Amino acid sequence: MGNNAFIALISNVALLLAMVFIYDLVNARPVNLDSRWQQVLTGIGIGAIAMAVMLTPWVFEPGIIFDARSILLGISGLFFGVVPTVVAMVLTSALRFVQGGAATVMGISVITASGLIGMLWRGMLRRPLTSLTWGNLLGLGYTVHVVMLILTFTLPWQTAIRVLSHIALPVLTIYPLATVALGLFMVNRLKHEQAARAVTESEVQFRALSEQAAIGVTKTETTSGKYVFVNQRFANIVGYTREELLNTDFHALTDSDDLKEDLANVERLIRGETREYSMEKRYRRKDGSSVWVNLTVSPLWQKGESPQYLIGLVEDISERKKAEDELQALNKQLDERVRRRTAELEAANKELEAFSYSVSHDLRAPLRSIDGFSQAFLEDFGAGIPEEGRHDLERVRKATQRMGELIDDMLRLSRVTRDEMTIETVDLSALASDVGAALTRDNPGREIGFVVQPGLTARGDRALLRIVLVNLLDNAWKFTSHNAHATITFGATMDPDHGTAFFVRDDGVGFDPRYATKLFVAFQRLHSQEQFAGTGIGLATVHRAIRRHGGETWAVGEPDKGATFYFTVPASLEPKEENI
Amino acid sequence: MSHKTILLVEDNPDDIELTLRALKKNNIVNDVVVTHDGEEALDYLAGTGNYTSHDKSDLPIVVLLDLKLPKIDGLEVLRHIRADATTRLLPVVILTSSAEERDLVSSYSLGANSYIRKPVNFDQFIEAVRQLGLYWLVLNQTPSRPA
Repeated sequence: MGNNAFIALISNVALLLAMVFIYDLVNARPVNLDSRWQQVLTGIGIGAIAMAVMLTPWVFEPGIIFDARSILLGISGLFFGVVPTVVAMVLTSALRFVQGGAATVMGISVITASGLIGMLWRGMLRRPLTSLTWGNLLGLGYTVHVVMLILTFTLPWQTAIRVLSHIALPVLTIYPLATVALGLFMVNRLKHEQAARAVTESEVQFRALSEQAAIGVTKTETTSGKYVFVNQRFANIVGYTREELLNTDFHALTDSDDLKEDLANVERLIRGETREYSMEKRYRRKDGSSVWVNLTVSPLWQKGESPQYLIGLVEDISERKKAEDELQALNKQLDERVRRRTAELEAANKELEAFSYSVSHDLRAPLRSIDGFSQAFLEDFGAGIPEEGRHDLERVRKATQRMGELIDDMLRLSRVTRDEMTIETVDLSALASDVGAALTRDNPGREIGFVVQPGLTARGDRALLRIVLVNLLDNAWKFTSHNAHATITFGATMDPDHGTAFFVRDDGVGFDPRYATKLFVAFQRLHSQEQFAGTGIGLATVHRAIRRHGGETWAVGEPDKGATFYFTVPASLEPKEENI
Repeated sequence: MSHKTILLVEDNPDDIELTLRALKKNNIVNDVVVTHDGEEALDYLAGTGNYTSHDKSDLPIVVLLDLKLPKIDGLEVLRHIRADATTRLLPVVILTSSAEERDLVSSYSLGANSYIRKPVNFDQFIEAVRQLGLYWLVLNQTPSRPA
C-alpha cells in the first residue's frame, strides 16, 4: 500500500507538471497580469488544471483522496497573486464539494490553506520573484504540506491517525520537491519574460529614437551595403524616399571621391581592427547636389561572427562645412591683407630709414659749411669786421649749431620708433642709479640728492628703457638747475587707472598743469631757450619709447612745486607697434 | 715722419676745405692728397688710373675716409684696402656725418681703425682734427713694412 501511495502521488504530480507545461505552451501570456479580466481568466486556467489533477487522485478510501492541487494552489498564490488564486480556489472547492465524502471538509480546508499560504508567501517576499531560490520554494512546499497533514485532523481521530500513518512520508517526500520543481519552472519563465520584454522595450526605444532623431539612422547589410532600414531624417538628408533607399546601397549614394575611404573603413570594421569609425563624407542627393555629412558607423555584433549589419549615424554638416569654408576664405583674405600691410609697413620703414640716413648726412653737411666758413671768415677778416658784424656772425653760428642739435634729436626720436625691440627683464633701479651716477659725474658742482627705490624691474627693451630714464632724469636735472639743493626720486606707485606706474620726481620749477598734455609732443617747450636749453624732443622720445611697450606716460606738476613724470610698462609680452 | 702724406677721401669741396683748414690750424704740415671719390682713392693707392706716377709702395700714414662717396662708397674702399696685401695694415679713420649704428658696425667690422663723426660746430671739428693728428701722426706706431 505504501509503494502504491508513492507511485500514485508521483503520477499525480507528473500530471500536474505536464498540464502546466501544456498550458504554458498553449498560453503564452505573461505571468504578470495587467487587467482584472486577464487575472480571472488565468484563475480559471489554473483552476482547470487543478481540477484535472483532482479527477485522477490517489484514493485512500472512498471520500478520502489525495492529489497535487495543494502544490498548484500554493505556487499560484505565490506567483499569480490574489485574484487568479481565489478564482482557482473557488473552482477547486466546488469540485471537491461535488466529489463529497468523508474528507470533503478536509479537502476544502487544504485548498483554502494552500492558496492562502502561497499568497502570504508572496506578501512576505521582499525580493522580486525571479530571485526565488530552491531553498525558499522548499520552505513553501513544507509549510503548505505540513499544514495539509495537520488538517487531516478534521477527520475523525482514528481515521486521521490511519491516514497520516500512510501518507505522511510520501506527501512530505514528494510534494515539497514538486513545489520546488514547479516554482523553479515559474521563476525561469518569469526570467525569460523579463528578458524578452527588455528586448522588446529596447526595440521600441530604438524605433522611437531613430524615427524622432535629428540625425539620420541607417542599417545596412555588411556584405552588399544594401539599406535594410533608414529613418525619415536620413531620407530627408539624401532627398530620396525611404522606399527608394531600401532598394539601393550606400555605394551608389556615396560621392565617388569618398567611397574608397568609406569602404576601407568598413573593411577595418569587419576585420575587427576598430569598433567603430567616423568620417566626413559627401552623399550625392537625388537632385544631383552633394551634401556633407558626418558619418559614424558601428557593427551590429553577433557573438563570434563577423557583423551582418552596420548601424550608421548620419549628421548633416553642410552648414558647418559652409561656415568652415567661409572662415577659411576669410582667413586667407585676412592673411593676404596682413601680408600686404606688413610689406607696406616694411617699405615705409625702409623709406624712413633712407630718409633719416640722408638727413643725417646731407642736412648736416651744409650746416658744417655755414658754421665752418663763418668761423673762417671771422678768423681771416676778424680785424676788419666791426663789433656788430662779429656779433651777427656769432648768431649765425649759434643758429647753425642749434639746427645741428635739432637734427640729431630728430634722428634719435625716429630711431626710438624704428629700432627693433628685444624684450627681457630689465632692472630699472640699477639703470636709474647708473644714469644718475653718469649725470653727477658729467655735471659736477651741483648738490643733488638721488633717491632710487630698489628692486624695480620691468619686461621691456633695455635700450629703449635706458633712453626713457636718461631723458627723464636729464629733464629733472635740468629743471632743478635753479635750485641750490635738489632731490630727484625714481620709484614706483600703484595707480588706480594704470596699475604699477614708475615715476621720476623732482623739486624743480615744475610746470603749469594746463599745459601738461603738451609736454610729450615733439618740439613743444614750456620754457624759453634762455631759461632752460633743449629742443623739446626728450619727452616725445620718452612717450614713443613707452608707447612701443604698450604703456602710458603722463605728468603731474605745479609751477615752482616740482614735477612728477609717470610711465607704465605693461607686463604683456607683445609690444604694440605704433605707426609713425 | 712729417713727409708722410695723408690721404683724404672726400667729395664735398666745403668739407675738403674745412678739413684742410683744420689741419693747418693744428700745424699739421704733412702733404695731403685729396681724392674725390672711391675709385680715385683706390687708383691712388694702387698707382693706377690718373696716379700711374705714384709709387704704390709709398703708402700714406693715414687715410681719412668719408662713407658717402660717388662711384665707390667708403665701405667698399675700406673693403678693398683690407683685401689688398700692400694696404691691409694701413690705418684708416672714418670721417663722416653719419652717426648711424649700422655705419659704425660695418666700418669696424671691415677693419676701420677709428670712427669720427664730423661735428657741426667748427671749433669742435678743429679739436677733433687736432686729436686725430696727434694720435695718428705722432703717437701711433705702424710697421714699416707690410707683414
